[in-house]
Amino acid sequence: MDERQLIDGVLQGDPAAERLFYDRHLDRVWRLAYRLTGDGDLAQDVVQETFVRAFSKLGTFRGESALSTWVTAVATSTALNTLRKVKRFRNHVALEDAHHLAQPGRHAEPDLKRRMAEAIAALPVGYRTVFLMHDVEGYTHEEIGTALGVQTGTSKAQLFRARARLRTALADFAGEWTA
Amino acid sequence: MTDPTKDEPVLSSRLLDAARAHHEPPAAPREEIWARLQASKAAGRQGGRAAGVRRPQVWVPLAIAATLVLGVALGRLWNARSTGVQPPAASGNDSTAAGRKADLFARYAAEQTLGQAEVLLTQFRADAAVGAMPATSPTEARKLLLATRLLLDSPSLAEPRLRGLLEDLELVLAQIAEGSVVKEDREVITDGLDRRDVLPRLRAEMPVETRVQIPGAI
Repeated sequence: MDERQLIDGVLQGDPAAERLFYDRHLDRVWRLAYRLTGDGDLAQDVVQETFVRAFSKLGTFRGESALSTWVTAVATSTALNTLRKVKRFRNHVALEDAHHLAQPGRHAEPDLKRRMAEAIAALPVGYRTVFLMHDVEGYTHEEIGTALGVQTGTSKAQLFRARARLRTALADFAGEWTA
Repeated sequence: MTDPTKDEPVLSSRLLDAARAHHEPPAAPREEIWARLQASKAAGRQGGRAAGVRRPQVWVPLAIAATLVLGVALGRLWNARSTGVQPPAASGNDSTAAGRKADLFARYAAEQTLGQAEVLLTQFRADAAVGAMPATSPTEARKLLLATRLLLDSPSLAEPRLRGLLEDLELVLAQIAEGSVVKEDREVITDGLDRRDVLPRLRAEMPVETRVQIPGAI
């Protein structure tokens, strides 16, 4: 099923098309929701609402960007709205430290991970969002600009400032930066 | 425009690893979220609306003001009906219009209150999930409990689905308003929230696209 047929199917409420749409976009939406919220329950809420909104608003998709970029925009907006509501950016740093230090996976040193987590959590929301999307999740500035509703240059500038703040916060690890 | 990040030092692979470990996503709980999505859709169909969609912004003062306006509007309407005395210059058409307006006020107040409740319950559940003390205050819950009871008393909100939701909400808010610091108490509350699908039902009541137009409101 090509993208146009898929969109038409979703707009007509076809359950198979909805499931296919969900399967195609879930991983990307989930990764972004989890990166931004750092909380499994909140991430599930964000993903659920993202797809509810995507299904109901798909008729407004004009094809000016890739469908995945449009879905990312819905997910980003949903995640940031959710986080704004629960105001969890600042006060869950200590909890997430414990949570992530206990997680298997990437082999970064515990102290470095803790310091990095604190530094990322201390970034203003715009800087943090751009940094996580670009440097961690690999989105392009064009995709970030569309998702956040900002100019590409703004995304680049925010990444520049985010990196500068991280560099200052992680000055102890001087020499770890590479040109 | 030049790219300000072009010559910016980037993170070494060691530091990038540390950054990537920040909120590193586990595998997506695909079927679990799909099941929730279907439940949310079903709840939305029962209400005849798109499911799980919320208003983008809800303000406490607005909700309180809307509730007050609702009280005044309904009070005037009931007074006129019970005494048989029409307000000056009121006609039959005016009375019908007043009824419609009261319904609109009630619906608007309900949406505002449900929006606030969603914010409070989302935060409460998120805090409970990580074992943190709730950032939500019992005072907030008491205010919402009062608003919920006012809505339950409103004759304009007679739909069984909405009344059922308000009754479940009343129960949950009453529990939160007690402000228990015991972890088990909070787990009982979140269990009740999940068992009754309170949050998905709240979201199903708040479609983004539907803006309630209040005649005469600024």
